[in-house]
Amino acid sequence: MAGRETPIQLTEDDVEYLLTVLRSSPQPLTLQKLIDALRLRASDRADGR
Amino acid sequence: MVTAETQSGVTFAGTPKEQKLAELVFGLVLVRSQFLSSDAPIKVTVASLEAFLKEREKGATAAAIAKMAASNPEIFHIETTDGVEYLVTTRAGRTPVDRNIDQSHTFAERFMKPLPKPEKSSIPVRVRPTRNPSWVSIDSLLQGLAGQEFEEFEDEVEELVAEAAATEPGIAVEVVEVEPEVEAVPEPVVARTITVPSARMTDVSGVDDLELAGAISERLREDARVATFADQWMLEDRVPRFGKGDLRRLKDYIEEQEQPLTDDVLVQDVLGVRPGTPDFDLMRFAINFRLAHERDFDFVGTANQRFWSISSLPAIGTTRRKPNEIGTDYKFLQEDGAESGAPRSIDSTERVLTFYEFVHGLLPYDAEMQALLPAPVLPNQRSAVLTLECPQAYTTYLAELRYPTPNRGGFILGLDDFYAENLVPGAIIKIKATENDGHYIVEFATAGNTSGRLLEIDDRKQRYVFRPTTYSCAVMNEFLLDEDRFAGLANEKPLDEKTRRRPDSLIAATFERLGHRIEGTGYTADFADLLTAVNVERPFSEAYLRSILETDETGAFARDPDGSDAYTYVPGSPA
Repeated sequence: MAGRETPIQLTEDDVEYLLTVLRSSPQPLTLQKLIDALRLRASDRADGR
Repeated sequence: MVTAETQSGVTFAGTPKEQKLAELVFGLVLVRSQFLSSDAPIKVTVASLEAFLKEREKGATAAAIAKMAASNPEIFHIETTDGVEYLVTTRAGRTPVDRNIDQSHTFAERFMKPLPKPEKSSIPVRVRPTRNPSWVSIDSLLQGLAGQEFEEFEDEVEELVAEAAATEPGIAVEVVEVEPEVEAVPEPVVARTITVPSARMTDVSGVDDLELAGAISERLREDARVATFADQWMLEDRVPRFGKGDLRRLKDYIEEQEQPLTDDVLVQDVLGVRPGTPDFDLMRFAINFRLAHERDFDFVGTANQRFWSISSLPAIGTTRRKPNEIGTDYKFLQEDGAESGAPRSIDSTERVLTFYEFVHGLLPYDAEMQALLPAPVLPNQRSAVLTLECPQAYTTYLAELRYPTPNRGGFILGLDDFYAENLVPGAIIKIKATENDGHYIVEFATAGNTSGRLLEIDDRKQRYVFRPTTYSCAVMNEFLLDEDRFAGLANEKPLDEKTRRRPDSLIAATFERLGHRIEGTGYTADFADLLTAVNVERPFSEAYLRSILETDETGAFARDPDGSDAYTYVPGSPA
């Protein structure tokens, strides 16, 4: 994986999406689950869903 | 014994003969109806009465009985059923009343036979407003108004002109047709289409999990709406809160158990939530998140094994030295400059126990141990309780990892019993990681039973002594403190704090204790012996000891040209 020059920073939209994910869960979520949620959303957008 | 109640208070009418007969008949009836209620009807056939009384009372015929009943209508009654005459009365001496209850209108009856549904609703149908058919379209409305209004206006104009001409003769009135003022029709507002950029979303396709995890943590940790502990995240307002009573119970329970307890135990034993129930994970997270913000509780766990402690608990491990003093002894680990791998990056480590480690039940948190053990979970975490399981001893020991500070080195406390029961200084142990980052397997190499006189410290006399010892663990002979090699330590007192605090003073004293004099006034010692002996007083790593010997500015220490790996010490120098 190519290295990035600047570290990645989440946008407000990303944060709101993560908050929605957290809000929909009655149990605590692991960091990996949040990473998976971000990736899933990105792939959904790419597929036009 | 059953006693017939004597009927009293019943008076009979009629002639004296009828009264006597009535009393006799009533007595018979009472005998026959001892177990009936007072108002239950008693039926006796007139024929049977006649047959019974014929022998006892002269003239007691059916006709006389009927006459007697007729004279006492309130008491007796004659009824005929299927041609048989019955005399009817009650134990109370009253004609029985009909006890049939009218049940034609009971609640149950109504349920069983509901009334038929009425054909028409009792509620009158509400008349709905209807629209006049002529109003259906705007055209039909306008047709009715065609020409009507304008004719009226024309008439009004003519009247006004005539009136003006009559009142103001000098004024010529001219009727000017005025263009009807056209009301400005507002232009329909065209809906504006605002093109906004689609929700900005970070492209995470080219980002690895580690970097993404860092970005998420960095951003969400600043957000007050989000609660986090270790690797878990949740909305803060969805995390259950604990009242003062709950916190008190949690604290009391830890105090009662006299050792740090995991969140699992606290949730089960104090909050009463069973594992596997839907709330278990939630309550466990709540314990960790909420207690992390309480002053009375200290987190002393790892990511997988989350221990909680309170300040009043007894300290884990040795009482010979204070943890701060031990940390100062291990300060050289901070200055060592040894590169350690990432936490939990190795699976196991092997090491040889020194005397200092053995006596205090310790292990140093050196570069290898840092690569084996987990990093602190919380930023300000000072220690972590670990469980060390020894399958050979069938025992699990509770140990405490003290993380290093800028001025003190890190170390692991609490292995006193394990060492004392199974090992001697010089023993080889192996510590293996498990999937649980708070639980480790500790094993020692075994050997056949061996006896020897090994160094110990006599706590009562506060002196080093050699005592016969039998052990069955494998040892590294270089680190075994037996009497043959280290006889000079016998009956020595532990060095005073001032001497042992200075490494060069300690090394000088160790040279003298080992006692290998050289010609002149100096001492010589093998490096291995020196390393083993200095570790009696305080911890020295091989690198640390060698660096002091090699870089001594006073000139007291020097490499011994006659030995393969030996050093000399010349007293009288500042050391």
